[in-house]
Order: sequence, then structure tokens, then C-alpha cells
Amino acid sequence: MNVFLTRLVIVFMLLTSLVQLDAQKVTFDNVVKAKLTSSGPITESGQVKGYFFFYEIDKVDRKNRAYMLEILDENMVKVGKKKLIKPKTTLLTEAAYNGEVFLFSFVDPKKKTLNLVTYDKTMARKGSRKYELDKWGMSQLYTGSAVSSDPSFNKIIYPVGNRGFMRYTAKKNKKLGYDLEYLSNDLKKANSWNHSSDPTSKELQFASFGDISEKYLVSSIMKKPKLLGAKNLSFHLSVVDLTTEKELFNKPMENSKYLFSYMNSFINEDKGTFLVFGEYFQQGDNIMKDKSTGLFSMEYDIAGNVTQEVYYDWKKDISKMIKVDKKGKIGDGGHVAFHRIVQTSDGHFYAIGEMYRKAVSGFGIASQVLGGGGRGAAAAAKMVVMDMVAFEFDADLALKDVSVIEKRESDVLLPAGMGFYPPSMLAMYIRTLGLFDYNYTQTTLDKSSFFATYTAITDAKKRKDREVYFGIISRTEGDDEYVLDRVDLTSDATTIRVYPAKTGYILLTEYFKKEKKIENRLEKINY
Amino acid sequence: MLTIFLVTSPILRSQITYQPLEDDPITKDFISSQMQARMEKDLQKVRGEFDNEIKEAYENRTEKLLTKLNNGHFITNPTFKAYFDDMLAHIVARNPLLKNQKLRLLVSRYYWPNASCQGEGTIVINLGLISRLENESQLCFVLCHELAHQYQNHVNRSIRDYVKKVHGKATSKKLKKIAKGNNTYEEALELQKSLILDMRLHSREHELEADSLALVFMKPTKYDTNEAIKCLEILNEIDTPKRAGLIDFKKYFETEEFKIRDRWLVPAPPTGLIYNSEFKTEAARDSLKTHPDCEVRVKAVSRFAHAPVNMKLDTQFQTLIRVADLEIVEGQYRFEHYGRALFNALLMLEESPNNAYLNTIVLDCLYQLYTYQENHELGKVLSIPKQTMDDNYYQFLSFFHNIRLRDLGKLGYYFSLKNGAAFSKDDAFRASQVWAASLVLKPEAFDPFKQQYYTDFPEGNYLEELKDLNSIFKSK
Repeated sequence: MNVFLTRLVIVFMLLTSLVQLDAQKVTFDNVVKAKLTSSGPITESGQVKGYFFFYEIDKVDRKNRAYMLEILDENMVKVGKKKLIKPKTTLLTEAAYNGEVFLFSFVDPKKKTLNLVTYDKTMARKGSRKYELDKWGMSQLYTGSAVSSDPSFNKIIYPVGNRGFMRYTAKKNKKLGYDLEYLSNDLKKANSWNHSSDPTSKELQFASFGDISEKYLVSSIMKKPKLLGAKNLSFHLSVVDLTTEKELFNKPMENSKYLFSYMNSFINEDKGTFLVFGEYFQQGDNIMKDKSTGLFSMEYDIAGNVTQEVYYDWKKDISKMIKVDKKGKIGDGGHVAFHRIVQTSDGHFYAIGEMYRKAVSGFGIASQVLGGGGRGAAAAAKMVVMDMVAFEFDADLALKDVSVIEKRESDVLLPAGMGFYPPSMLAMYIRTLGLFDYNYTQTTLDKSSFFATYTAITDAKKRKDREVYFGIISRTEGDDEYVLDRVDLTSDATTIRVYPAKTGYILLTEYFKKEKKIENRLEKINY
Repeated sequence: MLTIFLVTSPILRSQITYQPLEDDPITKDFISSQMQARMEKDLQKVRGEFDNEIKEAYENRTEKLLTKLNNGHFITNPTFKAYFDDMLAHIVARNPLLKNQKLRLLVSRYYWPNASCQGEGTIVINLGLISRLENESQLCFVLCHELAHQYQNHVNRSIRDYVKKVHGKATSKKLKKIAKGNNTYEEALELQKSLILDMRLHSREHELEADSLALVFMKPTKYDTNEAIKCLEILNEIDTPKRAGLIDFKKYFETEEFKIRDRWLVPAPPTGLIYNSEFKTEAARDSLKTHPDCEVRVKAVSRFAHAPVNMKLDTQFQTLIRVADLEIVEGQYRFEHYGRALFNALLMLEESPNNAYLNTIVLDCLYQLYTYQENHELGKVLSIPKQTMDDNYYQFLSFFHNIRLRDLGKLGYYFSLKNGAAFSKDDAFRASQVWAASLVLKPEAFDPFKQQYYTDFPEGNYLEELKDLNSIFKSK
């Protein structure tokens, strides 16, 4: 998550308390300075456990720099720091914690190498591992770190108990494939194992994290014949037993009647079952192009057999809760892009989504006319991101409620040539670029509450009166309604940003350019 | 004068309420002009090497003191101040060595136990230190200790030494060398550390010297020098909280209609991380405990001959301590440290459940916490619970971080219902109760509730402030 404070590459003084000396002299202030290179939250199973700050402190030689890696806990209390010598282009792209060790992912974009390093709680080094990165590995690191501030979204490293980590990577096969690699705390190769896609496969295969427990790892595998294009996209479900290191099953998500697209999964370790949510389509439909028939939930056992399946048809079932037109558009004429499903301690599930529609862009048309429709001109189409939407299912998976949380529409202008793609494919495109208003979702440790967040602007009539705010939708066990909270993002600071924090909180970071200072403040969410 | 202060103190007149000390603008102006005049005089005396840097340090010192004075950090209430001025006058009268010193003694509203000599004639004693002492003799020893620093000119000598060290050729040469090297950051930090260490070594010598001279100053006074040792022993244990009991939230807030949930009482779980000791010391609050080893100082002071112990029970000083405790709460409220103020008020309610002032400030703090949390600014007025804190403060903060906004709003109102029967005739309490009710009662219930205040207090002090207050009841 090096988006944390990205573009805020600033020089900050560490010895402000010392007396300033004459301008002609060498002073403490101009000797002891540091440049923030990367920083972000340290996560453990989707929970923010702390923060890292990686800053350059000295020039060692022409190629290398001395860096300081500093760890703060979830309350912004300093835990420890470590001096490191690394190439001058080094970035710290991800950090994870499993209760025993911290794992940091250092990337040298110039040499195209990845260096994973683990430290124990005293910041003593436990292990190190180097990887050469191909272009897919590089792009994965960039997209993985740049598109979202969600502590669980687009991460590629996930803690496995307190004994190791699971790492999702792209792998160059005949076509693009995936590799799920287990890394022990000492990062020794001898202790690693992996599950990869078939190297001879003629399809591109992408693996995404689903859920993890002490014993199981659930992943969704998306397969398609070509990188671009919408044909023949399919989803598989993979479950790995982390104790035996064996893949329990890897099954296509379809049956005789329907095709399924994957959204979220939940492990029930006691029962040995895996619950999957997603959208379903008629056999013969194109998942990327066609409108889904509805939503589904499906429970698998450890052999991959379906033990329970529930369908929620847009027209028959969901329309009872919210207006659905003949084309399957809901509410005020939008489709739904689901971002995350969470389960609360009462067993209820909440699917958080955002409505969207494709529309003609006045700016895009003008741009095409003036620019002759050449490269670089905006498309005549745009995506309109609409209200947030929350679907509630009870513990028996019955759909209980669909709620719309209103916010002002926002436009995403599409590049020329993209206007011909179907809305669902465009939704996938803008999701990958992080252009929905949605930010991230968290649950409290006891799962009694969840918080889904987004950024939007107020609905004032005059444009100049509209202000940006950070919206939080929460629901707590025992309540019969959602609580909406808004954090005003207008401030005296040069910039103000909101970052994920320990659950129930947000981290407000205010940057004051003139004073060369950053103020971090943990604030409670009102729920 | 001590007797006058204690007799006129509202706390003696009534055990059930307290009127916080008002600042006095005339006294403030007088102190301000004294400080400025002293600075001008001191600046004229500065000559020689690094005179500009030393002058700048003097100016900064006075500027900081004036800012604090103007922002109400020092208590300027003449009656309260007179007590301390009397003690200072008594010490000076018995010590001809001090007669030419232009001295002023200020009591700061700070809650942490400390006292300081500013080097330009101002001695500052924090309320937090007064609260921890046992008798006047101990206060006299603290005062004599700071007077010794002033007499020996320790602060100004330290400023001069520091400026010479930091600006001197040796440091400049070292910095230039460091700047040319490849390890500038760490080497410069090391240099800084060594400079600070050097200053601390000097400071340690100064403390021992000040203790010795303090006894000399104390001996001719009416106070007991034996208490110097006891005072140092107290300072050695100063990091132990004065009131260590846990807050009983159920006792204060739970009613039939409003239950305190067990999960609100569960302290934040430990992070499980191992904290670098270097960072722990950075966080330590500057208290007298952080001064050089109190045990060493106790031994050094014990070598002096003392008069036989003949201290009677200092009940008047106990009243002063109580005023200090209440003023600490008042100061924390004025400085918008609402979390701290509420914590201390609740702790003090254990001893004084019928004190209207404390009950009122609980309501006021809760209202402020609600407002700040609603605006996502709670972090400005309430700390995040951290494991390094005292157990009871950690438990207190955890409660307020576990509770949701809607329930935070209810705390004040139900507290006032449960504990407020005795204060139905107290204007301030009843007004605060109306504010608390505005968060909980629906408009149709709130309006008559507010009207009742207007009926009971037709000439109340809060009529204007409450005029525009409406119910902000939310559905939950």
C-alpha cells in the first residue's frame, strides 16, 4: 500500500528542537534530514496492525542509499526501527504481520528484483528471499500497490496463522498463469511450497485471494483465452489445505443451468465448508457482456461438492426489495458492482456495492469533435458512478433487505474506443483502476460491526459550494438500520487524506506544506 | 495570609461545591511588565562571544513565559497567589543572600508534578506537584531548591554553555565532517545525543548543588528541614498515580433505562508488539522523577544535620492540596483536555460524591467529548489508550473508545439523573444537565425540561447560553 502518502514525498526535519545556526554554517537541520520514500499500513488478515515508514536518510554511494524503516503500532506509537542499505530506486510496496514476524516487500524497479525480508518483533532479521521479476510481476506489484487503500484489496501477501504467509503472484507460462506460494517465517526455500496453474494451459489464469483460516485457503481463479476481449471468461474455485499443503479441489464454477462469477468466500473451519457469493448467468451467456440473472450463495464441502445453493433472481426476488426494470436495472436505472461481502457476528451477510451506468459524455463528444477523434481524445462515453447499495442476507442466507445509500453521482470519463464495451466489463475496468467512489470495508475484531467507506462530494446546488467528504456506512449487530457517518475533508491543511486504521477508526493525515509537517490523527467512526 | 486564603476559600465554607479560581488581569499585566523589564535588563548584561545567540535564547524564554501567562497557564488569582508570595517573602526575609534577587513565584495549572527555575527570576510550581506534597515544609524545600538554581544562576549558565557548545568551533567542525561523509544522519544524531548527554551531566551536578543550598536557605525559616528527605522520597515515587483506583462506570452511569454493557468495559487488547526501549523514554513526561536519581539526592541531603521532627498535622495544607486537585481538573477543562479532566473528576468523586463542581464538570466534559466525536475531532481532546499508561487511565480511555457516539450522548444525561438529586438548586449543574438532555430527549420532552430550568432559575447565569439550545436527539 504505498499509496499511503503517495505524492507526499517531502523532506521532514527531525531535529526541530535544536537551535538553528547561521545560514553559512553546516547545521543540524540540513544534515539530519530524511525523504519519505514509502509508507502504509501493516495488515494482518485485513486488520490494520500498524504502519511502516520507509525513508531515505543518507547517500552511501552513487548507487545505494541508507534507509530507515520505522514501525508504528496501530495507535501510532513507535515500535522500532531498522537501518537498511538498499539501491537508490528501492520502494517498499507491501507489509504484512502474522503475530510473529513482519514481512516487507522491497522492489527495485530498475533491476526488476523483489526482496522479501522478515523481521521478528524486536526487528531482528529472520529471513530474506530474492526474486527476479518479469513484466507481469512488475505490473502486478504496481497495480497491487497503487489502486486501492483497502487493507485487504489488491494485497498479494496474506498471513498464514503465525507461521508464515501466502503470496499470490503472476507467472509466465505458455500464457499468463498464477502461483500461490507458501513462505515460512524464515523465508527459507526448503520450507516453501506452492500451487501453480498448469504451465501448458492455453488460457490466461489469474488467482485472487478469497479467505484464509488456520487450515484452509480459498482462492478464485479467473480464466480467459485472451487478455483483451470478453469471450469465454470463467471462474474456478480453489481450496488448499494449509496443513497437508494439498489442493483439496479446483472446480469450475458452473452447473448444468448456470455460469457463476465469483465475489467473496467465507471459510467455516468447524463445519469444513466454504460459502461463496457471486452473480449467476444462464448457460451460454457471456459473463463479461450479459446482464446476470441474479445473485447466488453456494456452500461447498471439502471435497468440492455443493451442499447448499440459494439463488436471488433480480426480477423475481430482488425486485421485492428494490425497483428492478425489465432490463434488470435497479433503482434509478443502474447496474450493481459488488465490492465486498462481510459477515457479522450474528451470522448475517452484507454485500456492499455501488450502482453505475454507462452514459454519453458531453465532454467526450466535444473532445472528439475538436481533436478529430484521434488518439488521446476522450471517448464519447462515460461511466456514471451512482449510489451505494447494501444487500443483507440472514444467517440462513435469505435475502432480508436491499438499501440504497444516496450520494452524488460522479463521472468516470472513458478513453477513446472503450465506449463500445458492455457496462459490466467497463465496471471491471474502472474497479481495477480504483475509480469507483468506494474505498474499503472493515469489520470490528468481534465482527459485531462493519464499516464500508467511500469518498463523495456534497450535493450543494452551486459547484463552488460542493465539498469532498469521506462517507462511512456501518451496521452493528442488534441494530435494525445502517448508520451513516461523514468526515468533512475540508481543512486548513494543504491536503487531507483518510487512510484505513484499526477497526472503528480512520487515520486522518493532514499535510501542511508551509510548515513542512504532517499531522496524523486517529479518529473514531460514529456508528 | 495563609489563614486569610484558607478562610476565604469557598472550599472551606462548603464541602459540597467549589468555585474555580478566576484569573486577575491586573496581576497578569503586572507580572508581564515585570518579566519584560527583567528581560531588558538581562539583555543589556550579555556581552562577548555568541552574544546574539544568547540574547535570542533569553528573548525566546520570556516570549514563551508571556504566551503561557496570557493563555491562562499561570494562576493569577490574588488571594491564591498571596499564599505562595508570603512563603517566598518569608524565605527571602530569613536569607539575606536572596534579598537582591528579583523573584516571582508562579503556580502553573499543569497536572504533571514538576517545578522549575526559569533563570530570569521566575520560579514555577505546577499544581501537579503541590497535589503530591504532604505539608508546607516540603513545599518550602521545593521552593528553596528552585531558589538555589536561581541564586547560582544555573539556567543562564546552562544557556551560555549550550550555545557555546552548539555554535562552537568543535561542533561546527564535527558537523562539517559529518556532512561530507556517507553516514550523516546517524552521526549527526549521535552528535546531538552527546550534546544532550553533556547538558544532562551538568544538570545532575546542578541538582545536587541546588539540594545542598536549598537546605541552607530552608534552615533559618520556620519550616522543618527533615521534610526535605521526605519530599525527595515522594519525588522518587512520583510516577505512581495519586489515585490508582479503577473508575466504576456502572456505579456512576448505569440506570434502569441505561445499561453499561460489559463489552464497553473491556480494555483495548494489547498489540503483542515489542517496543524499543529508546522510544519508551522519548514518551516519558517531564516530571521530577526524570531529574537525576532521587535516591542519590536523598542520601546527599541526609548528610546535613536536621532539627528534631516537630510537625503538627498540616490540615491547612491539606486544603491547599484539595484546591490544587480541583484546579487541575479546572485547568484541564480550560485547556480542552476533556478526557483528562473527566478522568480526574471521576476519580475525585470517589472521595467527594457530593461535590457539585465535580458533578457538573463530569456533565460538561461528556458534552464536549460528544461534540468532538461527532465532528471527528475526538483525537484532539481524548487520548488513544496505550499500554504504557497507568492502568486506571488505560481502562478509562478504553471505555470511551469502546462506546458508540449514541451511547456517549446518553452517559451525561443518565449520570445527571442518577447523581443529580442533591444539586437541583445548583445553577451550573442544572444548566449542564439541560445540555446533556439535549443529546437524549426528543424535542417534545426536551423543551419542557429546558423550560423547568428557566422556571427554577429565573435569574440564572446560563439563560442566554441556553436560549438557542435545541434537542439534537437522533433516532437511536
